[in-house]
Amino acid sequence: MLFADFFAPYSPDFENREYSYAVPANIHFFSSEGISRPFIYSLISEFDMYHQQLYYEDITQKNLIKFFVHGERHYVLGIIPTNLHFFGTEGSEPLYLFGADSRGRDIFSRILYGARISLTIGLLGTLITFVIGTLIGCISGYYGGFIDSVLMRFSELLMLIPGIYLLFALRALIPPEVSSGQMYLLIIVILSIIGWAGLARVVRGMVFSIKEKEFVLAAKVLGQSDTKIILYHILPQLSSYLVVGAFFSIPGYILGESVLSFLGLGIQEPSVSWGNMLSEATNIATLTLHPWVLFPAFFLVLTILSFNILADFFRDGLDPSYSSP
Amino acid sequence: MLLEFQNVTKRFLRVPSGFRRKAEYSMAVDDVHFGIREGEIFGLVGESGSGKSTIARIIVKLLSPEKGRILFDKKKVLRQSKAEGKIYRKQVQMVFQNPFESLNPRQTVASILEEGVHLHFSHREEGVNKEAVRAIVEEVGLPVSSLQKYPHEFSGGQRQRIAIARALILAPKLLILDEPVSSLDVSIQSQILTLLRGLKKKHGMTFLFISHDLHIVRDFCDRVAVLRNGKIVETGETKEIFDSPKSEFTKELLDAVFRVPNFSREEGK
Repeated sequence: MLFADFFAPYSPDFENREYSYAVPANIHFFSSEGISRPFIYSLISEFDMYHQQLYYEDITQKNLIKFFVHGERHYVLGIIPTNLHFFGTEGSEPLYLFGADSRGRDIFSRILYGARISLTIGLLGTLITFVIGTLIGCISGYYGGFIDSVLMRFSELLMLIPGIYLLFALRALIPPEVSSGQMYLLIIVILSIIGWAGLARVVRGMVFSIKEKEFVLAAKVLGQSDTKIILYHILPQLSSYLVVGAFFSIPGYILGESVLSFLGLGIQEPSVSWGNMLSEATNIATLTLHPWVLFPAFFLVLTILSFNILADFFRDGLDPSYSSP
Repeated sequence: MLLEFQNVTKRFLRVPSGFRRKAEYSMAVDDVHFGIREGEIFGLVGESGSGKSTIARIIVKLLSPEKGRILFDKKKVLRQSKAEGKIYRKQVQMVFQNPFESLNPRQTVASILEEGVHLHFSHREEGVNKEAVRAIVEEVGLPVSSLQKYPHEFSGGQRQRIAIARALILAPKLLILDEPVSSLDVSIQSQILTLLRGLKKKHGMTFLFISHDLHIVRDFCDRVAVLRNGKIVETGETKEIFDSPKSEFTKELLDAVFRVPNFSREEGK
């Protein structure tokens, strides 16, 4: 993700209008001359009677796929200037590993760049939600009484409103002319505001039971302050739940961003996210003729699945009943 | 008197639920009056739910009573200033009933013991405090190597030793022992009691020993108060109470424990 500039053969804005909806590259290892390094044939296109662009391989023109080719200038990690790319073709024929979209942009490169936004929204959103949720849950559970009632009624109010409408309502508050960078931050904030309530309730319940445990009482008898009791005695007991919970909730945020962007309410062009890449796949005609525009969805599913499996793994690993003492 | 309880009352509010609109109170401790002399082991006995633990928690200020006065060293315990409260916390410590719940499972033994030291002896040098932690571990009969371990690596008896060490490291005047051996094996019980007796002799502490096990109380305590439904039934020297109980309830309590009923005669018929 950090190295998207390097691993992607092209920048996300690199357009090649002549290659609108170019088919995914057919990588060959054999040619008429026998075995060879992987290469692609150049594409020639023609329009059929329905003005549909069709692509054929021109088997007279071989383009070798090479590693560490020189291409567009970019900055690795934003600092190191280079024009090296991990792989690509030399010469004018572009390499469309996963095909191209309507404007001839490489879908593979855009997926790599889109991951930046889609994944960081997941991580940042989860982080913010868990900080807010844990903080409010701890305060509510530890002090109880009036503070607890106020905080919990407020969280119930948030949970009462169906998430997707709240999402739209909050989105509607944002003026349309904000820059994509601000938009990105605002989406994280919106998703976090919706997400903390449920977590805070769970944390509150856990704190409620932990604060009655004798080791917490013992700390009080020693004269420990409330803040330190929460930090040293209550939070560590929650840590395994929080880690697992965080990993389970990351996919929710990735999906949330995708939904917003897919509906055109989230990340806007020219910024890339998996959601707004998928918005191109809403048209059934596009989908049937150029199914490769669905590749981002495939990555979305794969990412979500990975996070869920990872969370499962953490749950088993952190559960004391699985580990030997 | 080191600690005096004067007409202390504590009620628990039963939250009204369903159709029961009126809030009800249950008396946990009702007009309790007793005193603990310096240097003695004062026993508090009674059935479960009789308010023994509530009294302990009132003394360590985990609960505050509605009525009454508590005097420690002739000074008021309730409504102390912050500075007074800190000194009081150092002088009165408590060992809890369940050693499996009273130690934070995510702290090492060293950090469990250091917590109190950092709170009350922060003015001392780091090296002195480290040495104090090491000394206390050995004093309660655990190897120094256990400092780096976590509570789950210890048995119940060893955990209780750690809990005792945590209270003891502050060198309290009054140590409250809330059923310290009731969740341990019988053989371990006597080890812990022997340890406590030794510590008391060495440091000259006062114990408030809460138990429902009358055998232990008879051997361990100097004076005893018998508690029933939040009220003190009788107070006196252990020997006096066990040999010639005055109240009907104490008699019943003692009979239930010490007189072995003979079933064989009825079976013979």
